[in-house]
Amino acid sequence: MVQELVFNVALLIFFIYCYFYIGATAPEPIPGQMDGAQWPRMLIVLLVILLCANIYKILKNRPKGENFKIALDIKGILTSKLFIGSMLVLVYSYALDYIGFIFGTIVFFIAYSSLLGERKISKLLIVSVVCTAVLYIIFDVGLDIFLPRGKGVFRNIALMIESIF
Amino acid sequence: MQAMEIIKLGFEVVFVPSTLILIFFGTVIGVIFGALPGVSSTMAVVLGLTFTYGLDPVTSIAFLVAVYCAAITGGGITSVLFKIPGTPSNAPTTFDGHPMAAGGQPLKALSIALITSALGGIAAAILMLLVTPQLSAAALKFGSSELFAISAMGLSVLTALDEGNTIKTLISGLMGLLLATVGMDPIYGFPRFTWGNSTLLSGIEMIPVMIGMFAVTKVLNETVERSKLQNIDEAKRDKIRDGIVKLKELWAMKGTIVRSGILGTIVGILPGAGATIASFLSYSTEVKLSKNPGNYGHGEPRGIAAAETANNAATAGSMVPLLSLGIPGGNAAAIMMSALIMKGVQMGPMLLQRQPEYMGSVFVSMMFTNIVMVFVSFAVAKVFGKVLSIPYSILGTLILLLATIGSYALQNNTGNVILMVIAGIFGYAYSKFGFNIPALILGLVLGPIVETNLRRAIMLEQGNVLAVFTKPITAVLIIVSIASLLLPIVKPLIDKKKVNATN
Repeated sequence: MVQELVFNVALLIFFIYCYFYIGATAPEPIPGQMDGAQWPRMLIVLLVILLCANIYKILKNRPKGENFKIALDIKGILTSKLFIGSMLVLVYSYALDYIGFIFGTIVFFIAYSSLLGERKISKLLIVSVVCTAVLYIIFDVGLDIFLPRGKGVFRNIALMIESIF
Repeated sequence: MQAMEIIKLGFEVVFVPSTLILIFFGTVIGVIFGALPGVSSTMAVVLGLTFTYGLDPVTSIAFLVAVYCAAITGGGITSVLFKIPGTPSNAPTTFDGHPMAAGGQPLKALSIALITSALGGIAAAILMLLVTPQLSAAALKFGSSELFAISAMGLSVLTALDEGNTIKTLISGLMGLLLATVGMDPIYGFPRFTWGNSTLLSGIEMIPVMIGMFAVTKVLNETVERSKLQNIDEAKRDKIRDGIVKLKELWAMKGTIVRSGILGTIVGILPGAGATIASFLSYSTEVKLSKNPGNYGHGEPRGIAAAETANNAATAGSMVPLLSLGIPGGNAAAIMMSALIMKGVQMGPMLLQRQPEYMGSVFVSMMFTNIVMVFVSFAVAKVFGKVLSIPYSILGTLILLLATIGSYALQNNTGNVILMVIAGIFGYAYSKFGFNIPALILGLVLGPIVETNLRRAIMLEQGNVLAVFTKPITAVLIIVSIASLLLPIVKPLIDKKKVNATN
């Protein structure tokens, strides 16, 4: 419940900021027209009202005697599957430009499948290579979608593999 | 344009070997994606998108329609055999499908689900062919104020998307509308909410956001907490009573099939309401109309037929507003719309007048898919025990990879992949706190249409807002929208009052 409250309050603060931001960046309104800031501002006003209602609802429905203490369990967060999973996907998406699709995907496949509970390393190695190859053949070779080649040595290897097909 | 001419155009597009193979492929992957627990029909369309980047727009929509119809039907397989709805719209199928299968008649339950699903899809496709041109012709007379009112009608179903959670669903819809304002202002041409970032100038790319919120969010959910399967015991199969449903048995269910087909198509046409609402509504209608409501939930064939006919009928229904008005009838239709916009197709009432081949290809593809998918589904069902033995540790990762390729291939840049991942992580928090992802997507898709038409209408009336809202058609549509928006909020209050008065 505390997390939900924090999430709602964060959204509320962000939208209030957006209300002033759009006003500051929009050009002067032309008479007889709805200017570019009015529509987003209308939406933000409604959002702020509804978020306040939602926050009130959260506070009203909280179990009696519950205190709003935010206990930050950093270790718990850092070792949670959600955090590791999110980070893996995020790192993979950033790394694609540097290490390319082929290497990035093999490493990501092994890492994420392990996170999902796959323990047999030999199986993981084979499946990751096979799946990467199948995806590469379908999309890069079959559908002409040029998947990221990476940079430096990774690019050279990707070009070499492309020349095979 | 006459229906026969549209069909002829559709045949010319679809009955080309390469397109037929593509649609067949779409049907196969649709059935498989739909049958895989954790891959919804919307996600199936999202994952199917990747295959359309190299195709022309008409073939793309024919392919995506095949994936969509087949995914809805494929979802019935796991509902019957494992009591796990492959897609949310197959949830009512589990009520009677699984008890029938567990009672020794899996083949019969499966054949009822697949055949009635195909019948629903075919009937609704015919209705779509008849209704869409009329709606499109009427919409041609509409100006900006009427188009604004129609798109507002699309938003009016927000409160019905999650009736017990109105505030959060409204917040989600409004956030979608606000996200749609990011980028260049459509009339003045100045940057909004870009914070100086040039990537944001073109606005939030809808497809990576959709892929992230449907596919990545789901895999993250499964990473944290895995769903469980309830398989049926093959040894319990009654080999004498079990078998493919007979024609006589199907005929006995004709009332259910017709009612559910009509109901499913109508619900599908309503913007925002999709296959899930259609199947639940149809199931509950059949229970109410039945002389023996006690049989439902214990393997009643009509229960399976009601849910499966309606959910597939809704797929064709959802294409009606998309093709006639340029407004998606549901999430999957919203994705198809984004795919067409991305390919430069101008959506709206003129689409059918200028390029009737879109309508034709959707119709012929639906007819073809609905016939082929029955056979494909039986084949998939036979091997599905093996398909399901693919551990989620592999399947989940594969879904992420397909999602990554889908986002990357949009513009061949990893920026969209990063956007997809951020949307997925945000989507996880969003759904965890009870907000509604489909409502956000609906807002995101309808946002530009609502805003542009409202502002244009006000500009045409020289700032007189009252004149915009008092135009006869606009006024009626706005009143209907407000009523539809308020009904799910007011109805529980009235019911509560009635209960209090009775007590």
